Amino acid sequence: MILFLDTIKMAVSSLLAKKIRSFLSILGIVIGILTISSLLSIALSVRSQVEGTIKSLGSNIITVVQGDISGGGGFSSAVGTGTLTEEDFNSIKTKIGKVENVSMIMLISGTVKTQDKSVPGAIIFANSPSAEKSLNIKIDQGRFPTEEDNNTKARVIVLGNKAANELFGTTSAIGKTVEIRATEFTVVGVTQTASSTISFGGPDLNSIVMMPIQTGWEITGIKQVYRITMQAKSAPEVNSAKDAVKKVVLANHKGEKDFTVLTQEDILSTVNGILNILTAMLGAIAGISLLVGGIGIMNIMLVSVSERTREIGIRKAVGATRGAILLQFLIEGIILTMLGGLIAVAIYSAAVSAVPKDSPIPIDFNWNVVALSLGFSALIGIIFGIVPAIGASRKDPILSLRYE
Amino acid sequence: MIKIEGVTKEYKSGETKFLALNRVSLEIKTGEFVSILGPSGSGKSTLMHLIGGLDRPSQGKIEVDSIDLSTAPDKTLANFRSEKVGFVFQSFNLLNTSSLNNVSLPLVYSKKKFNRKARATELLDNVGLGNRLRNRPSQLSGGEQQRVSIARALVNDPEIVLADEPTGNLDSKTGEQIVELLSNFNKKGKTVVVVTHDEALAKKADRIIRIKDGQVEQ
Repeated sequence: MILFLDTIKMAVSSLLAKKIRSFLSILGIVIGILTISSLLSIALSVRSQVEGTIKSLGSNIITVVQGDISGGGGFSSAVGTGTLTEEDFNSIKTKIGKVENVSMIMLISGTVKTQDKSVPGAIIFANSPSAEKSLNIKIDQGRFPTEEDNNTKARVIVLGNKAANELFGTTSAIGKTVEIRATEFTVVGVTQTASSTISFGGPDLNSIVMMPIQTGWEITGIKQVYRITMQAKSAPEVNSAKDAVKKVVLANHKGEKDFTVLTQEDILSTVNGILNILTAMLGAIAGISLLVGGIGIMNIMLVSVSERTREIGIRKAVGATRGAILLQFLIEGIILTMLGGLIAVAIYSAAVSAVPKDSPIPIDFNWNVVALSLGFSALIGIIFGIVPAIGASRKDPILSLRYE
Repeated sequence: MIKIEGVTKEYKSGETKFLALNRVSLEIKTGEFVSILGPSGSGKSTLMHLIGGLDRPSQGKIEVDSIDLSTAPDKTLANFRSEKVGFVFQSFNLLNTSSLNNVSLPLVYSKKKFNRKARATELLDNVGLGNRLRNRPSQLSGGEQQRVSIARALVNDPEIVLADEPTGNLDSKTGEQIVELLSNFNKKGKTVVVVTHDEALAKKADRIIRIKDGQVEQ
């Protein structure tokens, strides 16, 4: 143990003796570790954000979408042929007791406008009244279209918070008129600002406008169902409910699986799979920079061992064992890389605290990233320091003493 | 007690072989002050390295205080160098650090429990360098450097001091001080072996072993 502490002291003093060289060789490690830690924390925060978004919708949501995603699906799923029908909706609603708030959603193309303004990015939904619950919509002012609105094909509409803002500014939108596909609608409600999206890659709830589904069918003349969403009555029943939905729709489609039933869990695992691949790729790229840094360390340690041949001879003459010499040079290598790791972690911490909390990707300081960075830099020191250290320990004492 | 029996040391460089020592046998008793005298290339330094456990013979046996150095593993040799011997070299072989650090270096690897700083200071005091503790070799004269290296050789309280041309790089007056230090150590009952090509230096020893072309001259 005394030898170990001595060795650290000796290593530090010999590194200090060559400050510029030590610093330059550390630089490669700093860059490598910094790349790894920043890519890692970006990947982690993207993942937690996506997970948070998906989970905020509630874990008991079940969605039936067009096309068979899992089985490759072929052409019809690739172009999203309309395979879902009102019949599917009715069957699910009547035959499956484990689910509630079953609702159909249809997408309508068109622009939402008033006499002088329009919302170019607006997504127009026609949906069952129960979508208020199944999509977890929160109304800020007014109300959501009711069953009665649906049955009477009323020309009423709910505006997303952002859409309402763009059309009417700060004045209340309730009771105002908007125009979609040459049809006038009365605004009956405005939603609260929602932070979540319907699903990953899905539309922004804040720019959605929603009308009753019957109304949508009537103004477009097409009876289309884009999605059927629902909620399992209890979270533990999600999977059995999912199976039941699959069975019912499959029977409707005469055994042809041209649809997919998704739960939040499924979406989460698909997204996680994609994120895992991304993280691994980023990690591999960062790994290359670390490899280059490690080779730099190895190079500098080889030079150092060769320059200090005589010192090694002297140490051996006064009683240093091979192990002691090996330890000395190995520790020098590890101190170099750990120092690089520490500098990288310091820069990382400073950078993380500099990222504003409201940035698109808020990055949190992550102790795991710090621990991983330091562990990795020590590992690099061992991997790339061991060869020069073994070389040093094997030097012949007499030849070393004669070395000029 | 140093016992050397039929020791041969052969160096190979590529195809050519070089016989540094050829069937050398000799004995040095504990407490003796012996000089090994010979021209350069006679194999006297090789002999010293073998006695000090820095190298192993190609053939034959070397026993120092009942430790067989010819077959001992590396670790045993390292411990032997640490506990039993102290080396003094012609070119001093000091590290570029303070006298104090140089002298305490053997204690880093030693199993003997000394208070390092106190022991190193004491030894530097004994060689008259009590006021040069913080100086680096470059700030010291040749004689002072050699005295630091003698202090280093003695710091771990060895049984044997092996000195290879210890006065080779020094003027005669400084050389005499060095010989006196070695002789003082010998008076404490310790063994001193000085390797040299200098007759005058060799004569200060109790006994001269002459070596030529790798063989001891009788």
